[in-house]
Amino acid sequence: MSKHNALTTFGRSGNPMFRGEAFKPDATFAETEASGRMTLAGTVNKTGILLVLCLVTASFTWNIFFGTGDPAAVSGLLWIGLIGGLILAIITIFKRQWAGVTAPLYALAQGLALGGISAKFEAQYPGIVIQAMGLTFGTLGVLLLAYKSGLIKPTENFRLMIVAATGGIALLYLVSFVMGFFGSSIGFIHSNGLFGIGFSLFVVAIAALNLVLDFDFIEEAAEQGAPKYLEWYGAFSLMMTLIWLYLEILRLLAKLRSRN
Amino acid sequence: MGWNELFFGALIVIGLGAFFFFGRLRAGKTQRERQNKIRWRKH
Repeated sequence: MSKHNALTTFGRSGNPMFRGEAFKPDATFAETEASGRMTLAGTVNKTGILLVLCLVTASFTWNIFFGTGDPAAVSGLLWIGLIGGLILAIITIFKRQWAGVTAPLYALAQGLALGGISAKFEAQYPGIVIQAMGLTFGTLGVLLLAYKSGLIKPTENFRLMIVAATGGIALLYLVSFVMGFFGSSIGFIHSNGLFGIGFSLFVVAIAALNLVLDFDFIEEAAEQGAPKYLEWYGAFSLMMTLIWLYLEILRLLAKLRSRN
Repeated sequence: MGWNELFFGALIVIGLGAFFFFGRLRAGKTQRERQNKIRWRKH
């Protein structure tokens, strides 16, 4: 696989979660008893569960890749993870009451995909995966502190800007994906030139700022005493953004390393 | 284990530690009690 193949093969990602209906009160919202209400601790614990589940299946595909040394050995699992994850994400977004079941399944599916993708990048650029993980979780910690302390104050305009930028990026990836079927693509998305790296930096920034929206959604839902199942939904939302951020950081680092 | 693993491994531990510790705490007053918050229930 050429140095650029991993970028073009796995580079098409995007956070498809638009939160239009995410916090719309339903019939159960106001009538929820205290024990059935969402808490911050519950959401954090559930995010931990999702991270562990993702890590378990990621380790599985990672070990198959490095055990056999054959990239084709994980291709099937990788595509099952990608397509399964996409279907489960769509179900979770439209049926948030089911998040207790679909969010863990989503994490397991995404783990299969992430393990394979990470192993392919690691085989090309040794040490890149721990760098991407460090930067992803470092960003998570720093932005959470900035949010909790009030350093970053998300407003309606902020939300509109991030949702619009996320939608634009998703559309761009979709167009590039469709163009791929006709043997063409939007060059700068996968380029390791200055413009390509600048684009990746922009996408990483937008993915990171999506975390702030997730924090605000979770904080507000817990403050309002939303139903317990929104803990799973909040954890799922955070997980989705973290996976997107991780993949974009991986792509950015790969672009930088491929210039050497 | 090289510097790469040590530095970025520490970053993972610190980032996750911050998330699991501070994530459980409520946001500060300046964050919670402002007028221009996102109205999530409206969307």
